[in-house]
Amino acid sequence: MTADHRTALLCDDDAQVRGVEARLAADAGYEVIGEADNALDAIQLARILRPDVIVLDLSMAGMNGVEALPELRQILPACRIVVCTAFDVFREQVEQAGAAAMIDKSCLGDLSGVLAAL
Amino acid sequence: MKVLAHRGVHQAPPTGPNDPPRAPLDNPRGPLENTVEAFQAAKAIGAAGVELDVRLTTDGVLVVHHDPDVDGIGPLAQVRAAQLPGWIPTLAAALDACADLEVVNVEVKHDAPDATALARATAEWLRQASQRGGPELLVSSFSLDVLDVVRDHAPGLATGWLTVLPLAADEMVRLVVDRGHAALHPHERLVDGPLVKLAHRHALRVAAWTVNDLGRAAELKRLGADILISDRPADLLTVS
Repeated sequence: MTADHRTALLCDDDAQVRGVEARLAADAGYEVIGEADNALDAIQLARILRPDVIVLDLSMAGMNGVEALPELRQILPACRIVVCTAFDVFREQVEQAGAAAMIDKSCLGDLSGVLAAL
Repeated sequence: MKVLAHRGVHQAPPTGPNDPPRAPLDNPRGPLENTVEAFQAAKAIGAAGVELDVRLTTDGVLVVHHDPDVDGIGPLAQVRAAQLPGWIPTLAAALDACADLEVVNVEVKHDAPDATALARATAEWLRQASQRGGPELLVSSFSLDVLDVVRDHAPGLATGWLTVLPLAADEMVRLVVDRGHAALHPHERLVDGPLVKLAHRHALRVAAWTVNDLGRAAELKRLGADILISDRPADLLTVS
């Protein structure tokens, strides 16, 4: 993790959610350098951008976040991945896959505090 | 329109099991990327310039390398310059190899452990280098914060924002103009006619990356992109 400057990549299929996440990430001191509306693009962008943090939705068309998580961890082992989802049933899977945190989309405002604490 | 060789004219970098297939390169058995030989080869094929990546060693030497780690050695930021293999050039050696080129685009790696220190050191070094003549120096970064540090420490250097963010053209241009930068470096997929026109209206240059498809290169040329950064610079030079 970069001490003085932290960057974030946001992945969610809802542009409005990404917009809120971007604001919350900025509040937590992150510069958002990439956005993806699907997991495959997020994986591609993770390779290019090497962000400090990825905020990842789980329910997306095509590859879902549960499938993307281990791949992202493999590409960027030091990157912290925060899963942001409405589906708490995946919590165990997400934790086993090495996510740094998981937050409920209905409490999206918590994202700022979670990111700041990483 | 200028064609810049992405990390010089180089062979295909090693691919990992999860890497996507790579486009064919000009020089599959040529030098490694980001090496003196790769930069010299750019001149030989007639490219206007090169794009290269800069990082800082633990003893404060600016060196040219894409990844934060060096295979078999570890994090570049934790080793001294003398511990690096000879094929990783200092920024000074790289710029010497680029002396006859028109443009050198130096990307300041935003993922460095201390990106601000890297930006400051790069700005200071390039500011002095630019006073000695040589190619035009264009500094880019995916981070606007990092780019702002360069602007503050070397106001005379041209700075360009690398971006993959799917912003509206006016928002993208406004971000760059408001922060006093000179160029936009969007992923080639983000470039369209309205973006180029708006950027030019604000005196911003547009440098698209990484353009490896000749049809797309021709389209970007028609749209008025100022710079194309490519792994296939020799092929792109044939695009009319």
